[in-house]
Amino acid sequence: MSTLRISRFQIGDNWPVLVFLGLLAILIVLKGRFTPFDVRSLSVNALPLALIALGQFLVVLTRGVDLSLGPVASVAGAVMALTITSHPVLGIAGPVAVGLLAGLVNGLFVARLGMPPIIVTLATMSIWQGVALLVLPDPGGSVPADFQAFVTGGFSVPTAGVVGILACCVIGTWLLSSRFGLHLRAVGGDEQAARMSGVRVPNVKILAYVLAGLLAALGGIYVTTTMASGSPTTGDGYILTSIAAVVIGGVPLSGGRGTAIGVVMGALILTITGSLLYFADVSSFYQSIIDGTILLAIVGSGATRDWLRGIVAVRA
Amino acid sequence: MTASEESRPTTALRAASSGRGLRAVAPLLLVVLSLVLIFVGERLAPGFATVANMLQLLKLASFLGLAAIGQTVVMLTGGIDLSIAWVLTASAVVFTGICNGEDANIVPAAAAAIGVGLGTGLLNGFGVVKLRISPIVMTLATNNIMLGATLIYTGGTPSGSSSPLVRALATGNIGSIPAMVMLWCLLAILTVVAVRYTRGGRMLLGVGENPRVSYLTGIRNDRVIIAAYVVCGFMTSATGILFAAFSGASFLGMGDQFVLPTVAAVVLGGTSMFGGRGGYGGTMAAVFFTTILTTVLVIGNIPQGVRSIVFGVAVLAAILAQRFLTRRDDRDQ
Amino acid sequence: MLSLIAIEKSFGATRAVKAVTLDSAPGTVLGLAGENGAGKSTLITIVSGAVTPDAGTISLDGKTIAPGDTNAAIGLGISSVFQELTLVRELTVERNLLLTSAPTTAWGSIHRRRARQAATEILNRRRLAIDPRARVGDLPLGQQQMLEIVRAVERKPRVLLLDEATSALGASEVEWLADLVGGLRDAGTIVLFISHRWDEVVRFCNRVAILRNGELVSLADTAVVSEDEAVRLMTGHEAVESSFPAKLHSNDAIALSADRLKSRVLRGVSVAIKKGEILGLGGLVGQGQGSLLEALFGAHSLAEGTIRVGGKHLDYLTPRRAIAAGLAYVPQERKTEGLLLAKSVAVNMTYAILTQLRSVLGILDPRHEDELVSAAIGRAQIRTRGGGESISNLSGGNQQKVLLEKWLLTRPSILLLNDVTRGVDIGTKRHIYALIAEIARQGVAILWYSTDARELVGVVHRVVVMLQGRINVELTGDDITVDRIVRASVVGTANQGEADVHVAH
Repeated sequence: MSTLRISRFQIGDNWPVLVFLGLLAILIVLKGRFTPFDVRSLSVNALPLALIALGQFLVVLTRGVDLSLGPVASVAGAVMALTITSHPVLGIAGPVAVGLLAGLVNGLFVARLGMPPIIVTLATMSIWQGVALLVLPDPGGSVPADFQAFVTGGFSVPTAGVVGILACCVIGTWLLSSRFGLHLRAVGGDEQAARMSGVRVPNVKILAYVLAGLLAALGGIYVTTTMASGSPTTGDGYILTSIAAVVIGGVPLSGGRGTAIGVVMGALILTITGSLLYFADVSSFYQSIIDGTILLAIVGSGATRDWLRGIVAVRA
Repeated sequence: MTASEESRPTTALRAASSGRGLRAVAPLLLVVLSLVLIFVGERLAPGFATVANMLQLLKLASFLGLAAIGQTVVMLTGGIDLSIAWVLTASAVVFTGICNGEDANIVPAAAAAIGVGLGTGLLNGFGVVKLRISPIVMTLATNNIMLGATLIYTGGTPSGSSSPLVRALATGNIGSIPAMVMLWCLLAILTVVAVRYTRGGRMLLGVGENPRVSYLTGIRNDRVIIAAYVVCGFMTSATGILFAAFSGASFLGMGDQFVLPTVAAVVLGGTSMFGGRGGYGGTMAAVFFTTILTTVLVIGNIPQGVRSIVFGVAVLAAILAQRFLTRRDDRDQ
Repeated sequence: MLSLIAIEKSFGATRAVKAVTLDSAPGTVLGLAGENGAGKSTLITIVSGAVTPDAGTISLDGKTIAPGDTNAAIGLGISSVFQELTLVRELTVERNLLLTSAPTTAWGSIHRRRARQAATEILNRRRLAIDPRARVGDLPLGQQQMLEIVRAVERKPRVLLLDEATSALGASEVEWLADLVGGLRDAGTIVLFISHRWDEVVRFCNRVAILRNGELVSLADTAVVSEDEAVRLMTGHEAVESSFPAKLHSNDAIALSADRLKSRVLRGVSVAIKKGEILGLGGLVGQGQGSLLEALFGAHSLAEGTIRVGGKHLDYLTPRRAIAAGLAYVPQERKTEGLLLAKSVAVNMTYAILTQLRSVLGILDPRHEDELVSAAIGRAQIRTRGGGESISNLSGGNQQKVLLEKWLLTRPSILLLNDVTRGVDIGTKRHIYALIAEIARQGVAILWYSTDARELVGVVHRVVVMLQGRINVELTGDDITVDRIVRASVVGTANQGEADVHVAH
């Protein structure tokens, strides 16, 4: 009867891990050493991006994009810095609520009103930037020392930073292995088909944006804690880098495919290039060029191969 | 079979939503709102609604207006250009660096600066069309690359300055009208005419609306799209040169304030994000509107935070309005 | 018992379904047969709830089903399989099968082993040898279609709707489906089975409903309807449209020739068209006709074969090169492939001749454009306020006229028409027939694919019929009759009594 087909194990899907390990190897060679301290500092720097990129990943899986995650992180962090010293519970619940609310607004506009995600999140991005400035016009607020110590870790075991990174990998993978994860990929892969197969498309999309908002809030909480104070613009740097991390992690912006580990690797890659340049004695000015080139390399490699093949075929 | 027309409407539905009514309404709406804002501004600060003040406002808006020409052309193809931030900065930096305050150096300086814009545009277009990289990712990557390149070129501190001639263009008047306003109007007319009444413009609008139809009509889609990104690169570098002259010097990050406002202006102006529908007229009205909005808010001593919120809400309201207006068009048919 | 009472449905000016009433008892496999456009698909989409009827009711076991509501239909046990697949190509077979019913662990993640077991169990039960780990998009189309069918059957439906379910299936796969349907019938399920192919209808169904022009003309046990009678019922005894213009003899020079074209869809097609000849292309929908036309125009990639225009070999054909060589192609889907709906009549009409429009300093001369457009509007009698009107305001027939004029303005020497009278009113159809005849008289070679056999008979010099990517029958002169064309499309041969040719897969 019909022939058996087995899906191939593709190296392409695991590029991000390989690239990261490669860069890590180069770093170790340059530094000459690799201590737990190094592990910790890399994790601490990478964790906020990993969290926000994970949120972006969920949205991208549904074929959307979220430009507001950075400012949401700023607001979450600002709210925490203002309230946590006096009201510990509110200090955590507040930022989380901000993230959930932001996600809900985005999700409703995109899923129920059918607006293009890029323009909706562009508008909400502006709104949250404004809110951040209103809540905390100048850097300020405070974070209690013991909370900060807990989060950044003074233990001898790899600390919350590393735990955070691992948690991102584990929880991200778990999320994707659930029915929800399957539905996310179905919606991004072929929305029409998913709908006709019984998937509740609007709910899936809304949940994706809500979770993204939550993760952004967590990222904001973490960054603010490590800095011990809040700032209205902390998140701005993550607006586009979260997208870069997702793409470097091997996730197509057209949705439907990708792994959580890949995305976390993307965040790590973007973070590690900074250290690499430092230890290679190369001006940090090159960082963005390298980030841009890595981005193009990962995205364009398959296409370049096809294009070159196309040229060769025509000449033949 | 006719049944299949109804069971999976995708491109057909999008194609059917006529943009004609929307293209007329959006700019009109913005003009009306602008007039309202001018009225509010006059109440807040008497003397606001004078011709002289309006011209100054237009001068301020002209830089965003010029940059938005490029973004409009790119978005008409259904794409987006997120690299204008650092293409603008890079061009400005190259110009001031080579020009060094001398009118004599204008030509080589301008050539180099425009070359930066054209080169990046070509790169963007190539990546989007030949390598099939999504415009968001491609232009994001080139933005990063231009960022790094600028940092390296300047060593962290941009140097040099614009020449008196360019400064006169950017800040001076011709008669009682600012030179920038005249330039903007001139370029605006050129753009509208080019998009609606030239072969290139027809192809741009056609490819943006439906690449398949264009392909089957023998249009070279690839060249049209690459040309759009090149035009955007050109306009961006021109804006960079002029803006640097206006601001007195080129500085790192000067292009950041242009990226998202140009995208917002294009969308507010009625150009569809899917491509093929809209035009620069609407963008121009949107640029004018957002500049007045910002100015009135500043006069009213509204803090930056509220201004950002108002901006975001305005964009949401505008796309909601567009959504419901388009629906009505469908129903009337 | 599934009951359809007085179902009516029109699409614009076309009445697709006219007062259809029929019943199906449990354990019936009811075939819906008829020509292209007879209303079979429309009827089935109405039953599935995807399309709302203009009038009439559907009830299952006495309970009326809310019209136009797919969820209600599914809820009552109506499961459908259309030609457009609802599988998510990116996901694996098992994930598609268990999309909404995947077994989970205590943690909430999908239980891999149990999911694999469940999927394998389904595949084994339905006798499908497909690897559950395979990505659906990588499977051959036939297997994808079988999966789609299995998914529908797994919902344990009371009514199963199959619309051209065998279109991508090979011989052994059709066997598999026959067994499956037989099993469902024995279990008391009602199956509605659409197929153009009469031999399939006979094999699968115990009852058959024959539709013609939206009307139910026969409802009987399959056993009592002979093939000849079926063909006669499908085509009817209506007088052939007498409004077709008289045919003239064509030139002898060959305008376009294609030799052994092979592609994903075409299996060795050779065809030649003379100057001034109208060559009709017939056959069931989806047998490769569209791909042939596109291949001749350079829009369908060929693995093998050559195309010659006026004797000259055309290499690396693209639509742009084809147009330069004198070809013009009017596509089937005017809304998505032919016209720019957001633009005006004038912009659409001149889209293919932009380089021929006069311009001053790059700006197109509006007067020249106006001249050309107004002349075309007058010539084709297009009902529009003028060139500036938005084309989406025009009726389907007038839009089609604009599309035709767009291509005629390129002064082609070879015109390729893909179902050019589809969804168009009778007045426009007549105009198009006259137009085609006139253009042929002027020496243009025309290849015209039509899903309406009657049209082909009226206007063309020669007819070829395609079946499964090949040309299987050619008719000339007096042999061109509606009966022969339909028989060739539906049965495989043109003449009564000939053995049915099973095309090897």
